[in-house]
Amino acid sequence: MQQLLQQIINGISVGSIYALIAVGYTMVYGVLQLINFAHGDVFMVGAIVSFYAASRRIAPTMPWWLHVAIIAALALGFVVQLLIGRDWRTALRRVLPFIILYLVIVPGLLIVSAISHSSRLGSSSWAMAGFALLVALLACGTLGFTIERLAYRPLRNKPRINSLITAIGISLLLEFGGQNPAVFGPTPQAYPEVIPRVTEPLVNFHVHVGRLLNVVVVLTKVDVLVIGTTLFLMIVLTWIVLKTRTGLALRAVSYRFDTSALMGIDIDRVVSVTFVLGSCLAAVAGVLYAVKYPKVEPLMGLLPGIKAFVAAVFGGIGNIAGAVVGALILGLVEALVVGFLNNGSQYRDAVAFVILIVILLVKPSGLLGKHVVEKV
Amino acid sequence: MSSRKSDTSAPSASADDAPLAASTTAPVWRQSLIASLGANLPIPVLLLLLIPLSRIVEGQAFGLYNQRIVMLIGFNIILAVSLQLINGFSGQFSLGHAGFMAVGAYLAAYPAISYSQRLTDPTSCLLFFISLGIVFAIGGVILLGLFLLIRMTRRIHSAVPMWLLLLWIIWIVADFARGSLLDRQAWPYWLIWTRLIAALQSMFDHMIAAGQTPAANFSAHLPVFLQQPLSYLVLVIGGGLCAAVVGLVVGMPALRLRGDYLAIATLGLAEIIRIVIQNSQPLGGALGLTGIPKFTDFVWLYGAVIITIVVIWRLGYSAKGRAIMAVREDEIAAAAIGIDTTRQKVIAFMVGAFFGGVAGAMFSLHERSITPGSFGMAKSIEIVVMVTLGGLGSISGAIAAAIVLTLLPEILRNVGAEISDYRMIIYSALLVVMMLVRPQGLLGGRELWPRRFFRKQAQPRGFPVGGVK
Repeated sequence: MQQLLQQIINGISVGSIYALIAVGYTMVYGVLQLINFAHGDVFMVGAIVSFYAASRRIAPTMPWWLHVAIIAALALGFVVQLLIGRDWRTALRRVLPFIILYLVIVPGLLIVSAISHSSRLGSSSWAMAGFALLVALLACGTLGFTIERLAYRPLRNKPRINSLITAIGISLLLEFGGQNPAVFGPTPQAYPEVIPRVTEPLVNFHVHVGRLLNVVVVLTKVDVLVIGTTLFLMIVLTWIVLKTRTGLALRAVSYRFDTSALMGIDIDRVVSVTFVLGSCLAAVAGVLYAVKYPKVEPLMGLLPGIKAFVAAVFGGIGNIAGAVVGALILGLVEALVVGFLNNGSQYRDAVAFVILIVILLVKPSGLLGKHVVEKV
Repeated sequence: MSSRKSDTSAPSASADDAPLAASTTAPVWRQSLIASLGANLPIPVLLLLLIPLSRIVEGQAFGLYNQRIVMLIGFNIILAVSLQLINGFSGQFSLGHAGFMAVGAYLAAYPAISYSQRLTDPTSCLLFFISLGIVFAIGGVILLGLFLLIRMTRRIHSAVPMWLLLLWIIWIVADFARGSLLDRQAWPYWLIWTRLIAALQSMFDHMIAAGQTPAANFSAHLPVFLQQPLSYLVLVIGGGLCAAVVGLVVGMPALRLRGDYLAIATLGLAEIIRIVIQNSQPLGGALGLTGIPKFTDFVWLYGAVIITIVVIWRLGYSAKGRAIMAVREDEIAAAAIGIDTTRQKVIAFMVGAFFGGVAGAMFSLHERSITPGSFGMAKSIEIVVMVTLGGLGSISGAIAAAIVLTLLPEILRNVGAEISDYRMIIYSALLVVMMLVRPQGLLGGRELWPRRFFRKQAQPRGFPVGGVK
């Protein structure tokens, strides 16, 4: 009985991390009807960037070839825009966000690196954790924005299979790029203990029901942190979606894509905001995951990404509440399989896929999803 | 692999070769016979050509390294062409081809090791596949029956079957959890799922035990020169059929859904297969199987390559293939003209899975040892890249891409060791750039050679009769 309660707590804790990732999937799907395969890898990038920040290894400048490559890519983009017949003003407007981004990143990197080396942060403190999280948020937000702009936007009016292949390509690019020794290398590295004594028990629940039940259930600091952060972020997200103008636009776009454009909503902006929001949530999830399981590697986003996708489908893809519910159920089922099945930990990763296939069999629209009739 | 049915209304099916020139007056059966010969003759000629070629490839001068690359190209061609049928022709994006390959590889290697070490016992291998088929058929019928029963409850409310199914799965998991903790003798009667699995397992063991001696006796009476090729064929085709069955089981539900669900479902399937193999003791676990007899050589492999290409070519460019392509182009329109879209997709999926399994079986009988790691996601992605790069819907494109993408890393490796670090990065970047710049792939649905050898292109004949249901 003690084991059951303990596994339920573990399950909710893991499920909360899945929920943070799954919300990103489901938001992008709701707006664009696109499965953003690269989302799990944005999660990975968040963990790795925060790892670099927390272990004070952020370089103050980019290597020279990266400067050359970025400037060359910007120039090439501009020329291509001119070649396909846009006048130079439009072409410049298309390239401008990236020029600004580049001009911000260069001094930004200097500042971030300087902060990370300052002794005031301390190597194992809440300040350091906050700083690592902030860096991860900035990096992932930028990454999400760039991915959408470069890889998905040009294909928006093409067949859906094209953007799917591009998404897979981006995902692989991030994974194999990370495995390159110049970036991170294929071997896992230990995540520094940014928050002191994070795996120690915080609360010991004494569950006592008559003579039947008399057990102690342990709630560790990291579990509290994960569950609390997720709860907070979900409230913030709900507020954004329900109460702000951007959220209204987001809901309108996901309701009717074309009509909302006719109503004067800047669809490109809404899509960008969606990607940045989703990527930021993935960054938080990445940092929490790395704190909970202190190990980072370039392939760490693969399984959580797929599981979060399964959770999003399970809850009804396109539905934010559904994604959270699906992720919590998935985390619970996983924890119970690990806890109660002989050799269960080996089958842990198969659980998600079994759930996926079952849900596709029986109710493809998911737990809370609406059944959509396909129309011409 | 029969030729196209000639149609009585169009004498144009004949070409302007000398014997065919006068055929406008010849009876229909002779026209069709000659046309069939013209269409089918290249196949045996090509197959015969393999024998002198094999002398070159397996000769001393060619070198072991080059020979290995040639074999790798062969496997990759089969995989790419079979995936082309799924991804290119039927437009269903499958990301799990390595899973089918794994099924074929393991289910060919296991009986080869267990029952027929020197590949001298084809009947025992056949017995293995038949027993496996019977056991899985019984288990499948029970599960399917229950599933259908559960599905009928959707008349009550649309969400009822899902909850029932979830409860069922929890029941099964709890059942196994309890069963795995107890001894076999201590199982209480209510552990029905554990008992069902155990019963099926012992049934399989009994069938093998009862049949093995007669099977071995029967094999011993076969002519000696037939024993090895026959067992090889049984293993390869058996592995392929198992993969096709797996394809059917997964395809049936997933193919009813939109394309991107299929992508993730096949990805998941391949992962499940890998995880199950990794945790199964008889299949060697994570260490894999070793000591598999080696039999695949140049002639066998490239024979299979030719047959794969011919079968998929004929299927793809037949009336049936038109139906499959119609589903790719517009599913709703295809359904409106009376094509059973799910059926077409399942056919494409099963044939593709079959050849994927064949490639896996041949691979395992070539490598001597296999591990689950070699059938991971990277392999699936590699095949997908080949298909996409060559052009979705172009068989010759898939062949060309398979050759180029197998040779490229080897050439790059000779240029500098550093390049191999960037191999997968280049692959993935290629995939993205390709989709942005030229989404239809290099060949974009065209073929390098005309669709019919030795025959004039048919005149447009209106609606394709026969393949469309």
